[in-house]
Amino acid sequence: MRLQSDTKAIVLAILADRPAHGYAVVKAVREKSGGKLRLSEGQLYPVLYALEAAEWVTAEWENGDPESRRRIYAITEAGRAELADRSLRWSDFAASVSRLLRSDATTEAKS
Amino acid sequence: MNSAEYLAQLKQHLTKKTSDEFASDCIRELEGHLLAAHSAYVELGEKPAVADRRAILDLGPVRLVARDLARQYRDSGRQDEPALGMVLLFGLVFAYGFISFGVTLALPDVMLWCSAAIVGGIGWRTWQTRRWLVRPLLGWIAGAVVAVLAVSLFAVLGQAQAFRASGGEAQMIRQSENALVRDRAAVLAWRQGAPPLTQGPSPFEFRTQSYLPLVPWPMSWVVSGEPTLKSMDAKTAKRAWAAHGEAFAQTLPMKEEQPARQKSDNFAFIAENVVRTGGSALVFLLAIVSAWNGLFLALAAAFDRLEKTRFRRQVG
Repeated sequence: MRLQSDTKAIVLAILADRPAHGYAVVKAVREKSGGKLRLSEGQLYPVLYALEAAEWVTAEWENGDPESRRRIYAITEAGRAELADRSLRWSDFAASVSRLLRSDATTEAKS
Repeated sequence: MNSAEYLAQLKQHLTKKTSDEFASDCIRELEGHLLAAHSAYVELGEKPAVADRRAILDLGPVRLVARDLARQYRDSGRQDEPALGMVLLFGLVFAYGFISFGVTLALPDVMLWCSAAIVGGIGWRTWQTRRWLVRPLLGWIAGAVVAVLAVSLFAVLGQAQAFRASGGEAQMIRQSENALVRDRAAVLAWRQGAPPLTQGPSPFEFRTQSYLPLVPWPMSWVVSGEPTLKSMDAKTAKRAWAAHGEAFAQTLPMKEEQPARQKSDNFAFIAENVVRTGGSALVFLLAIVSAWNGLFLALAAAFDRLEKTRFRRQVG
């Protein structure tokens, strides 16, 4: 399954565990979802840069070395607040859809 | 294509659209990403060449990756909204101030300047973001329509205020009386096919009444044409006057006699202009956006699909 929406929330959730570089984020999404979710790698970096611009994550070259090929992204307090907000909205949405599907299934069973 | 070629192409795309520093940082980071992905595939037992191909396939077509990165680069740190606000504010102040202080400036000229400011603002904003598609443009169009309406209102009220201040309302009516009566009489004569005006070349032309002189052509879609005096020499005018002028003049409301009716007529004129201007601007801008978006979205989707297929064939 390929992620189409709210990639920002997924990336924030991964970074909330620990700071990581881009490829580690991709790997973590795959592992944590049991291989069911796959982040579009080409779109990951624009998302990371957008999170950085919004000051929800900070980014530093690995070991402070400007010649390094890896930037380590870490979530900020504002990022955690944003993640909490998005998680809440997602939970509400998921609960509503579940209720809807359950009521649909019940109606089907009755008929 | 190997990862070195991929990164070289990406750099080429990025340096065209972003700063050298941003492009070089992106390339370095993506190089690290490709190396990590390559190592992961090799650990899974892939041959190095295959691992390289799979790593760049995961990243996606160069042009699309470059496009997304460049878009993010342009969107970050841009504070152009306040600047656009200043452009619109300038338009409002210009229209109101210029007329209120009594400088002679006809309404169409005000609309010309305001239209230029608004169209310039929208153009500048879209050029800055390179986002030509639906959502941002619709937002700006809504803003522009509100601004056009506001500017029209300011302009008309400013003009009315200036006339009131100088006692010019009555003077304006007196000055325009002859021309107005002559014009109306001629139109009436034309409608009734009066003999003096059906002979010889027509003094009329069918013209749409445009209050946005920059964009005259789409108005013809929404505003029906009315006969407007093209030119009228003194002889023709006299004949028109003789045929219908006197009778028609008597039907015209005069301020001195019917002040209340004159006032309401002014408000009707203002309202008509505001609605006509706003409506025309809205239809014009929506027509452009619809055509643009329809074409652009279809082409962009087709190109993206083509690019992905081509990329898979080229790499895989």
